[in-house]
Amino acid sequence: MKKLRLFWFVIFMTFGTHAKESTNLQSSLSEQQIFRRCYSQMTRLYLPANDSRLTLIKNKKATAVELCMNLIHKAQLNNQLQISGTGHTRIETDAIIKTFNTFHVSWFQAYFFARQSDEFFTANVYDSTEMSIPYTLAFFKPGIQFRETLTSEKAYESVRSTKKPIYFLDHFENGEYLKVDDKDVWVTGGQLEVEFKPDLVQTGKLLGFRESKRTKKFVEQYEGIKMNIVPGQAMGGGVLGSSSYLLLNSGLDREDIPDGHFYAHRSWSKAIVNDLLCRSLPVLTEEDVVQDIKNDSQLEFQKNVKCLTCHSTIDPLAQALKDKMILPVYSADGPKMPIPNKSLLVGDLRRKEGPVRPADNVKPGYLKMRAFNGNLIEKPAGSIKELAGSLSETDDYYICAAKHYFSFFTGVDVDLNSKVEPSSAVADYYNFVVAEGLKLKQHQDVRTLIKDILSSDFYSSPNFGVKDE
Amino acid sequence: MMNHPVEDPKKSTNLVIVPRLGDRYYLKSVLTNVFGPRSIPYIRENIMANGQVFGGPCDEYEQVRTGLKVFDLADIETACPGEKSGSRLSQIPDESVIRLGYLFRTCDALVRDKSILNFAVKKAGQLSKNPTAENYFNIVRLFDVTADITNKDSEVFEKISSQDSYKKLPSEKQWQLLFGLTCKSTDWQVL
Repeated sequence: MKKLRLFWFVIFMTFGTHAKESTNLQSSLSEQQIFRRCYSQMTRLYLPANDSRLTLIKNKKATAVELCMNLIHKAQLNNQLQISGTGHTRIETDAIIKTFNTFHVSWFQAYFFARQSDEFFTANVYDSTEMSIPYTLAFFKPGIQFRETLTSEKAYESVRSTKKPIYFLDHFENGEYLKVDDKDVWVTGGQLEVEFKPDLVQTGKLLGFRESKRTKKFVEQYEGIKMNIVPGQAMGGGVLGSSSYLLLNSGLDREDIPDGHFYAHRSWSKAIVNDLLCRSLPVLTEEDVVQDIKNDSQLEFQKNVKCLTCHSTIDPLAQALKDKMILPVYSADGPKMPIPNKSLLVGDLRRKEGPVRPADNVKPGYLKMRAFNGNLIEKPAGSIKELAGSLSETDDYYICAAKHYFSFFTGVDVDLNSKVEPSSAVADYYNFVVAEGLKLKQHQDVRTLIKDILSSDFYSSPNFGVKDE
Repeated sequence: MMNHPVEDPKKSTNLVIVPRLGDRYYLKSVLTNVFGPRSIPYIRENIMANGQVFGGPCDEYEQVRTGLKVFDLADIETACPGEKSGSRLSQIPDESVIRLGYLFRTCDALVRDKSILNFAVKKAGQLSKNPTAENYFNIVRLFDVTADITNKDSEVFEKISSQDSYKKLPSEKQWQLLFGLTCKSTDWQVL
């Protein structure tokens, strides 16, 4: 391989270098080097000299891309969504699935309760990494269409080696060892204060996945509205219906009831724009939102056109969650204190009859934003499911996925927020990512996307086509 | 929710390029294969324990707490005992001077340990004999089996081996120097 030390030194000393000239795709790695590249990236394992696949390449019995794809193929989950295989194949399979599962987790800016807000308790009840599972399934389970990451009605959870659930995260607070077990009594926040003994997430070595079977139900009541609380239950809309995603990103305090004005799950909306569309707010222009100005509003941001370039996207999106509120869990012993600090549950405020809530008088939710190409998108988003359906029809959702995978394999992170000069080196990468995203929308197969990336001139170039400065 | 900061409308740039370096798990795999199982304590101390520097997220759900501060880990190196931020680590770590520093420290410690060096040398030549150019190329290929051996590698070896100070070294020290040099190189870490 061409010596890259000087190149990488220059790159790293300038942190976030922007390629200024055309890409350099003249030189190419050997087939063995391409295989070593994909093998190391996907397994994070050493490739020994006696690996039989190197011989296959040497004897021209297989190409590097074929063998790279074969690695993924061998790692596919079985019909029960479990990791399979034995011997060295199993070692590689475990490694690949672990690599991509943690990679998919990293797509989300907020993804662990204990890290996010010291919500140790919540991490026992909800799988913090739940949002990544649909992407891992789409990658490793043949036949799953990528759009199902948004349209699936199912919720999934990890299957791990410790079959008997153990409260793996506990908490030491105010001199007291807090642990949810049979000795302590916990109750749901709300008017009924129901004893709370939920099913728990599994811990230990990752063995695979399964459809969430957790059905333990707690009936609560809040302001006269009865709610069924089923931790881990799907809310529809694939990733968007993940309780973990809502709890990690809501921004509302517990017991705040969404009213469509003061109280809305706006941070959740913002997270969707960031995490699932790879965009940062604002994604509307001032011209787009002039008609949204309400000079008589009690909310200052509704009078300000600059504020509305963000709020006109995130507020209508948050309406998709107008029926969801967040409840605490309390220790029943001693003073009524939520323990640990922010133990959360998702409550559903929907009901067939009863008083109209303020949020019901607000215009139903919708998705409004400028797409990657500047086109204005306006689609219905009155519920999680409807929002998910609308997102799955955008180009941006698939381009965002292509951007993530391209970055993983090349280290080149394309920014989708602004347009590029057609003649710049950036354009080569940008156009490739956009084209692959659009193709993904058509074929819906993540493996085809990966194969395209691995087959590209960028990937076979020693430095991914980045011009040696 | 009344807090509604105005977002910074400034758009970021179009492209960010970082070297596609291997993370701590990859480094451990390579170094363990080159230097043998006795190298693991050094690698754990300098590389695995420095996830912030070397990247490589851990899986917090592999951590099983069976009591207060009592852990049962599915995999001691991929779980995150005591570090809440471990699951947030990048899979594509940044190059940094600190990373180089820890790697240098690891490589120095490995080649100074005679039994570890001996394990590695056996794969590239004989400890009792002065390393040849071909032996040096073997070392380079030990770290990356697909490494092209170019004129530059020949020149590197030529430059080193022509130094009087090098020539005076006993064979073990010469091996030590060549393994240390290659171990510290960025080349094999780039994926």
